[in-house]
Amino acid sequence: MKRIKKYAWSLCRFLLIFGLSFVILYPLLQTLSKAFMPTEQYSDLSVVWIPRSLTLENLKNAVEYMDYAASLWRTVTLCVSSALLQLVCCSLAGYGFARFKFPLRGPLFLLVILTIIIPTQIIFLPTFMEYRFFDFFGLGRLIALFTGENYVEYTFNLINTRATFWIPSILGVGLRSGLFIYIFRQAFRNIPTALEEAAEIDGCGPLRTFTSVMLPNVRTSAVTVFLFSVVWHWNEYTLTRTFFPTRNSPLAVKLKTAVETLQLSNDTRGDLSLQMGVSYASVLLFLLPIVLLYVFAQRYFVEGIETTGITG
Amino acid sequence: MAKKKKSAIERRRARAGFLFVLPWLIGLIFLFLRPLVMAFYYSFHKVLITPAGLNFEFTGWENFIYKFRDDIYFFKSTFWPGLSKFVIEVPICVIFSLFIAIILNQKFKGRTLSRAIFFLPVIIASGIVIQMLRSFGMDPSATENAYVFQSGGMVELLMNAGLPQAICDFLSEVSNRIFDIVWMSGVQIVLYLSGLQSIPRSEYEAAEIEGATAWEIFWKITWVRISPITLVVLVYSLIDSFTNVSNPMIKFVYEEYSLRGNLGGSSALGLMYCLIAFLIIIAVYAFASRKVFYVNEN
Repeated sequence: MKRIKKYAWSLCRFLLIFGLSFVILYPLLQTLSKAFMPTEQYSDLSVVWIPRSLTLENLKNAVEYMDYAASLWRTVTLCVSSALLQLVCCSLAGYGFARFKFPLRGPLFLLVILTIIIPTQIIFLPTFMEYRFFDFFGLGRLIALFTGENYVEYTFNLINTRATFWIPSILGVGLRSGLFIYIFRQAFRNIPTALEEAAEIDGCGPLRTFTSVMLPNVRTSAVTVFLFSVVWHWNEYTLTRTFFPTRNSPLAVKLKTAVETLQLSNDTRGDLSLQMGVSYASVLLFLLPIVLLYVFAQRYFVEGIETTGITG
Repeated sequence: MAKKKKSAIERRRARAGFLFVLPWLIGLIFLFLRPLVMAFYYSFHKVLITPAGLNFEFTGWENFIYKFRDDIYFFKSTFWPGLSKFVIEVPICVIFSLFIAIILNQKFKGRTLSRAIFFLPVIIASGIVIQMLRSFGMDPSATENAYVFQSGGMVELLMNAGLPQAICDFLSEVSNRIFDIVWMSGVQIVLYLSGLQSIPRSEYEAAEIEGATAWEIFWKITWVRISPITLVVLVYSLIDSFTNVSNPMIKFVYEEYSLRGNLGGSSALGLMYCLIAFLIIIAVYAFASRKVFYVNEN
């Protein structure tokens, strides 16, 4: 009796896992299948998953409409550079919060949490203006005060440049930086204090201790933060659309604009099958790099989320 | 005498610590707090973009009320759904992710693969791609998809089996949303999974020897032990529900500014929405954290 029960549960579990995996994988497999399928076969009821013939037509169109090669390069460099800058600032701040007592440490850390909770959509209008008329946080206005000219003369337009992601990243208020500071703080707190004391006795200053003793000990967290930062930058749409409204847009924006262009253009407006083909192929092209990254670095993704989970 | 010497070291440490957080502090002031204050300022003004910068015209509370006054459907179609959708979403998400985490925590063949699959939504966490993927799943023109994410067939079957209309509707609602639920729960599942792994095995063994049923074991050990994680999952799900791109209010705030160029209105309604959402999060947190059980490990 007990064995029957056990087998019944195994079967249920298998069906459930299989079913839900199907829900997750279905649209992805659909994308894969449709991207290589000639568009005539989309409405052919006898073709279900496996295309009768393969074609690269959709992918070719998508590459063209997304400006893929250039956009991919821009996206990769933007994600990696922003992630590295985030890594620098968040590890520094995390260490500061974890190991040093200074006035207002508690309230300041609460503000870190607040930056996680407040959605970027609420503050991105003023932020947009900050970058549109960037004057080094008031420096331009200060100069204008003396020269008597309009301060706009002393501002730079950073819209459509990568600086809109670099500046917040190095200053610890980039994409989900609050979360990364939190992760680093937890990681540094788990390191025994004896290590630091030994370094200090050997004559290391705080910065030297940080770079040569503490940082190597939080390697796993650092790799995790880096990977998540890359992935989240990759997926970011609202900010990229706002900060790259016309030129240099990363893939997440191209994904949307490629199909929109097709729908608006006079030549292709009525061509639904072309639009469908391009949208499947562009999703595939968009997802391919990060899914590959996930496959190769899966261990770090899972480990990272798990360690933050325990300490949360 | 010893005290004074110590405080010199302490002062130096404090200064070093302050320097470590300084870059972040600059960012916080100039790129978080100031924009936040500016958003408040925008809210009370009519904002015009001119070649010479921004032009402000004081309007009082106009930005907060214009939408409710001019568009009678706004409250019903955008504001209220944006604020209330968590009521259904969050509990389903919490229960579902705990359930899946418990299953994934058991030993069976293919566990690693299933974990990798259930973690995929975290990687493809982009609102824009999920929207597109979803439209693929429900695309009526595609071949066999019509019934995959729609439960028309199932509802008919249940109705014929004599179930009341209300229950059928609820079931079809859940199954229609299974796609959203699964795709929303990636992070939560992994959080729960890590929590489950930190529960000591000895507690389960003791309970089994005492003759506890699986039901009792779940409520007396797992549920209690996992409660700190439930709190985290709850807050995470709430934030996600309020700030996700699929939230009608977030969509509105974005479009009001980007399509209609109404900076003041977008800020005002966004802030108002955010404040209410924040109060809800605080209230849920305060209520839930009293029920949380922390094990004192020492």
